[in-house]
Amino acid sequence: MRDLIVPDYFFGTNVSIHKYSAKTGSQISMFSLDVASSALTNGTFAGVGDINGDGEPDIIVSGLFPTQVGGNNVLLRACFARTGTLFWGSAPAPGSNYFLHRLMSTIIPVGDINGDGRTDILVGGDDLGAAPDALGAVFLISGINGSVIRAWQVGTSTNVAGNRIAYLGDVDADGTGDFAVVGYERTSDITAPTAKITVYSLKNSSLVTSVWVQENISWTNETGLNQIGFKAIGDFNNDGVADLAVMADLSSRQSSVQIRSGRNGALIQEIAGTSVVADRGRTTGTIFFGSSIASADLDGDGFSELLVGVQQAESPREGKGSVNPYITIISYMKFREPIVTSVNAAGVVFGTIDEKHFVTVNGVATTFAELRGLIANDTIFDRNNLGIAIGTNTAGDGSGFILDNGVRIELSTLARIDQFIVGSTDFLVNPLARTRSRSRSSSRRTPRPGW
Amino acid sequence: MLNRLSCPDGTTQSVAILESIEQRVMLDATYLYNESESILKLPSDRIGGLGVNGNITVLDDLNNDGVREFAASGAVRVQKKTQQYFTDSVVQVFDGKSGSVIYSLGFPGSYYYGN
Repeated sequence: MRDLIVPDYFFGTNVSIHKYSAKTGSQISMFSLDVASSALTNGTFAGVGDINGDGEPDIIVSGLFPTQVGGNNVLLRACFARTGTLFWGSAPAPGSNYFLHRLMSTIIPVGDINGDGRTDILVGGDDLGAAPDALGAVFLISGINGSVIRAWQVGTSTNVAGNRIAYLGDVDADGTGDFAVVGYERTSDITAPTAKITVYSLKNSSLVTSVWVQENISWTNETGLNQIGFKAIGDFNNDGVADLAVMADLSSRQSSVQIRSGRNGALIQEIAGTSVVADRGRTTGTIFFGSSIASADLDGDGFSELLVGVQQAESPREGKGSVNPYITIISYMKFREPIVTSVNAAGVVFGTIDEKHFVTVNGVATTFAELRGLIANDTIFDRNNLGIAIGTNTAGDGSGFILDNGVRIELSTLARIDQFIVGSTDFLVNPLARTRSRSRSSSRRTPRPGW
Repeated sequence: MLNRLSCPDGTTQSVAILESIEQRVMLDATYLYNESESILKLPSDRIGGLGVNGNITVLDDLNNDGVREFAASGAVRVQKKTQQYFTDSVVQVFDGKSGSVIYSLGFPGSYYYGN
């Protein structure tokens, strides 16, 4: 069973690496790494697997270390996870110990890119020294010796970028992995900041040629916020490419997590933190839903869970208690390949996905209201080869009905239509019972016991 | 939620896949701070896996109940009346099935001035 390794960045002169038994929480060992900065900001740490070929897992720690390589301060140190023994230092950028200047904030193992048989590392940071001479950049680092294989200066005098990067795999099918970087306006007083996600290939350093670009993403003012979630979360829509989870801004006090396609940046799903926060009754202060993001298949059901962390902006003062940030866990179910059973002339699609039926309208069915608006009153709109027909009634209010093998089911509310669309296949067995007895929420996948 | 997919007639349709994200568990971590995320971090969810830069990490199935556990960390900067600050940090390991805290690791931090 894997151990739990926790680095502790003191506001002093070292980084302590603690190793615990994950099962019991008892400390197994600890070692320290000297750092030069007394006020580290955004130093980070990552387990990167075996990058030196000794069969043992390794770790990389970022900081501003009191040694130099080629006249630059060492910003990365690679160590044996078991002993803490250092085996290389890397100085891809000048670095700075000025409090506001960032260090290498993201460390991602990306596999063997340069063909030496060892895993290489993608690292990035915002404003890696005194602007404008050391703006945010992303570096591909050799796992064997820490040398720079390739560099991308993604930050500019007007845009901050480099910290939040994500490895997506081979998006453009050219045999080399690609990575995403998000950049946003440097000015902090913009009321409605936007961000741009750009995907570059690891095989060249061109900032001109990108795999794709997605602009005008609602971004979050960082006041009071130390972390904005931006992470590859696995293949959410089952198209063979890892997708992105991005913390986006909804308003000054609420944020959301957007699931975006790793293939083209299109929005797949947006999870608003609003209702979650309201449910908990904690609406004071600024809520940053999505400041931390992780995903994994916790329960082994084949569908990954999405773990979303929430940060509240208030900083506690002594004697005044403290805020209670909390972690919200939201699961998602991966998309399965849809099976289209019929498409009518108006572009209405009947089909199934993951043993569930869906009805939608070509390109415009983003809301149920739009779907209803396209259906003429008291008209059978379409019938698919499962014997299901959809139409609207004579009430003239836009509500409709479904005919399931001759059994008419009135759809008097939007929820009913929603219910039909997300209902499971046993809807067909006893449609009236299902539609009349189930609430909208309970018609969805039944949570497993314990969840 | 639009996906492109092939249809029987050979055309490609934009299809809204009306699959919802299902909320399973909400957890209260009553002593979990995220105010100064740089101070205390966790490794990536799996060594050699995709992506880091987070302070939630997924662990193995520690209690053999078929559901993997996960850990979350955070650090807070507390301002004292003397304008001095100190950091206080914690790692909590959660039961992946119930969401309850299995154990906590505390990291009392150092004092410093400034912000």
